This record gives sequence, C-alpha cells and structure tokens, in this order.
Amino acid sequence: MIGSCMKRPAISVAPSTTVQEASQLVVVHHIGTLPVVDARGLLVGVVRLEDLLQVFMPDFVALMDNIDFVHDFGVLEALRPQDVRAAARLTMHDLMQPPVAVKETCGLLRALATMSRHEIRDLPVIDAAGVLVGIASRVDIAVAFFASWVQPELPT
Amino acid sequence: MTLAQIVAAGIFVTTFVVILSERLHRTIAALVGAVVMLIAGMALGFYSQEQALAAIDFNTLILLLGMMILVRMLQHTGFFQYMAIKVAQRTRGNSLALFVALGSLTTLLSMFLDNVTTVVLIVPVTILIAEILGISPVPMLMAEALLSNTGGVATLVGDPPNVVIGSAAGFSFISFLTHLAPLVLVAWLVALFVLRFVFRRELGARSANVEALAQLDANAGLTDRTAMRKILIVLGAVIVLFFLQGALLVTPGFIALAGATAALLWVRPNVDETLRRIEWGVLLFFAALFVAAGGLEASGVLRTIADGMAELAGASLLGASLVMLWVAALLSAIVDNIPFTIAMIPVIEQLGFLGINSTPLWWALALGAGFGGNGTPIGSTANVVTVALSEKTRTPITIRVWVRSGLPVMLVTCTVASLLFILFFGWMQTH
Repeated sequence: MIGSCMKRPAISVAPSTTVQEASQLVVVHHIGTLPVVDARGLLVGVVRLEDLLQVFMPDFVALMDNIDFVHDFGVLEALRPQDVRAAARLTMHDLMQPPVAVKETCGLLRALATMSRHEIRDLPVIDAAGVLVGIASRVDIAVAFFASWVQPELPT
Repeated sequence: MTLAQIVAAGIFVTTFVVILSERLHRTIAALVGAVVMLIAGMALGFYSQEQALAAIDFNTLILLLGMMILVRMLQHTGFFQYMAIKVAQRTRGNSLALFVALGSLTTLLSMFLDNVTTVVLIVPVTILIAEILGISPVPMLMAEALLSNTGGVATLVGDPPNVVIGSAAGFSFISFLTHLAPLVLVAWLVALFVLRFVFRRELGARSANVEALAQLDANAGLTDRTAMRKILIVLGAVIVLFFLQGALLVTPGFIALAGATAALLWVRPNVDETLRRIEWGVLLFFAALFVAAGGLEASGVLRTIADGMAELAGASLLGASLVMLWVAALLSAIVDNIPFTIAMIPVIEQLGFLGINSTPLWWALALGAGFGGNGTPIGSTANVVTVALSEKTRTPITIRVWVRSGLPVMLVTCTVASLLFILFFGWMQTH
C-alpha cells in the first residue's frame, strides 16, 4: 500500500503562494512536485516542476515541434529567474494543474500505473475527505515494490 | 424589390453578419446560409438544387485542394524552417536586415503558397531567432503578416480571392503577373518603408548574441530531405505549368491537382495522415458560400446592384473601378474577404453582359480585397494566426500595435494602388 511508503506530511503550497516562494521550497527541500491545498487542507491542484519552469522558458519552445537544431539559446542562457517579470505576478493558482491523487489504501502497482498514465513523478495521497496526507515519489513506490526481492545490504 | 430578392438578401446578409460576429464557426455559418438559401429558393421558386450545384466553382476548390496537399507535404519536411534559418543567418543578426529578409521570404513564399501556412511556419522560427538574439520579434511578425497578404495579391494562386477571381474572369496566371505583380512590387516597397519608419526604434536595437544565430543548425531542422527535394521539383513544375496554362488550355485547378497527385505518387506519404491535415473546413466554407451567393444571384438582387453600378461604370469606368477597390478594401479590413469576393463575382459578370468592360473591375477587386486585409488584426486569416501565435509570447501584438503599423500600411498601399491604377488605366482595361 502507498500509505506505508509515502512521505508525510507532504510539503505543500497555497493557491496564493508566489513563484519565488515556491522556488524557495524547491531549493530547500529538493522536491519536484508541489501539491496545492486550500485553507482546510483539501488538495485543490498540483504544480509540477515543469509548470514552474514554464514561466522561465523561452517562448519559442512551446511554439516549435523540433528544437534539436538550436544548439545555443543565445542571450536566453544569461537570463536569471529574477529577470523574468512575469514571475513576479504569477501565483500557484495560475500555474496549478488539476490534481491526480490516490487514497492511502491504493496498491503499489495501481499507484505506479496511475503515475505512468498521467506522466507524473510524484503522487499526492489524500484521505476520504480529500485532505492531503502525504506524497510518494516514483522512486519511493518502486523501492517499496522491490524491497521484498532485494536483500538489504548489511552495514559492514 | 420582389419578395424573393428581399428574402435572399436577408439570408446572405445574416450569414455575413454571423460569420463576422464569430459566434458560430464560419464553416457552420456558411453551411447554414447555403441550406437556408436553398430552402427559401425552392419554396419561393427562385433557386433550384441544380442551380445550387452549378453555382459551386469547382475549379477554385480543386486549385485550393491541390495546393493544400502540396503545401502540407512540404511543411512536413521542415523546408520552411530551413529557409527561415538560412535567410536569417545571412543577415548576421542585424535587426533591420533580419526584418527585410524574413519579410521578403514570407512575401516570396506567399506568392505561390497559401499565406496562412507560410505564416504559421515562419512565425515560430522568427520568435526563436528574435529571442536568442535578444531583440523584439514584433516588427518581424508584423512584416510577415502584412507582406504575406501583400505578396499574395501578385499571383493567381497567391490568395483565395485571386483564385476565385481568376477562375470567374478566366484570367491566366501570366495575366495576374503582368497586371498585378508590378503594382504589388511598388506597394510592397512602400509597405516595407512604412513599417521601417513605424518600427524605427525597435529596428535600431543591436542584437546581443549574434553567435547563437550562426550556431543554429538549419540542416538538423530538415526532417525529410529526399521528400523535400521531390516536392520542390513537383512544385516547380506546377509553377512552370501555371505559366504555360494559357497555351495548354487547361485550368489552374487541374494543374495543381495533377501536381499533388504526382507528389503523392512519388513521395508515397501516409495518405490518411496527409489528408487529415487538409483544411476541409475551408473548402466546405467556399462551397457553401458559392451556393449562398448563387441564391443571391438567382433571386436577381445582384442584377439590381449591377444595374446601379452599370450607371456609374457607364459614366466613368475608372471611377467605378476605384470605388470597387476601396469598398473591397474597407470591407476586407473588417470581415473575411472571401464572402465579399464571391458575392461580387456575379455582379461584375453581369456588368460584362451589359456591355461594360469588366476587366478593370476584376483587377480593382483583387487589389482591394488583398490590400484591405492588412487594415485590422481580423482582416485576413494570416493576421489572425500571427496575432494568436504572438499571444503565446511575452510580446503579444496588440490592437494598438496593429493600428500604428497595419492600418497605415493598408491605407498607403491602397492609395499607391489607386494612383498606379489611374496612371496605367489603359493597361488595366486589358487582361
């Protein structure tokens, strides 16, 4: 079950959290997914690292199918996050995607399949009321899955 | 006016307004207009199913279809991207040179290929180049939208109104080139100068990173070199045949569709996928408008308008032509130029039957419908697409940008076209 391998409590943000505050959480906790919860703790959305980085991506990346021929991003590489003006006025409310989440009792294979289907790397876990209780990464779940098969190495 | 005329005019104008309001997709709006027109026509006895079928100009549809297939196949090979990068690299990142080069490339491509495709494919590369150079893409994007409309006026296949006019009037490809291309060349130069002046501040900016432009690997953007070569050969042959079309006594539509067939036979793409990329909605839109306009013609409304114009044309053919040019231009600026062009065709044909030399009126219609589209962001599909793409960037093209650049270009090019029209009116009376 996912409940036994997830991290709790999950590090979460509010809809009003700014891009800079969110990036601070990413830096401090080294995490790639930020569940968005409202005042009551209900999971209302998810901001993935991709959504956050989208704010800083060059415009052409979204417009072109193929960017393999662009060997040098030119002046764009010199860009610092603080130079992007749009970042100052965006909040998690603007960036969040509808959440994909499972209950604590969700099996490991179902959890892995759900992540693979939705192309996400972290899976928020909610209780019956929809309140965020934890989060499990793909690695957390895979580790739990392989654990019974692999002999843990004894400390020498 | 008879009841039939009032009903037919009411249906057509309503269709026109609904298309303009964008409350309904234009293809659905045109289809509803065509169906209602036919029902009213059969009920009141002014329009039959046979007449409706005969009203559809299949040469136009086939020409559009043939060119669409060729362009869709070419688009897939990465050719447009390759061209844009190659041309841009020659400018060494100078923003003024880049503006002229990308504008000219778009003009040249849109003379032979459909404007919307050209713009859809060139605009993202332009945004890419502007971003890595650290300059504003707006002057380049405006030049591409405006010059693709302008360039399209020069040839029979350049833009849809010309296709429709060429087919109805029976003008050849060469005839378009000898009558409209010189005017377009002058208007194009003037448009370029107007834009150069409007965007003098942006175009004075220095590119911050010229090496990044040189680093772009145009060849890596080409996904299918063999197919590209084959399609370009076919496209070249199609254009050569367009030149010979008068002597060969075949329609441009036949040439285009034969070319598309040859390309399909030679390249063997996934046919389902290629055909899925054809804008069937556009073809259906045309067919439906032909049916709706056919009802308008059958009811006699257009004859009434033609009679009114005949008086004016009888008094002064030049005056009537200039009125046609400006009315077409103003209407094309605020609505899609296709419905207006299709509705004007029977009117001008009728003038021909009344013994008036209708040739200058056709040229005036083509010039007005083409240049008028530059006036507003909704004046042509190329404009709509460019604005929509720019809205996905940090420097969207606003109405204000358009009013200070597109509108002056429209007014100046129409004025230039009118002056040249007056100057060479003798030549404009021939085809």
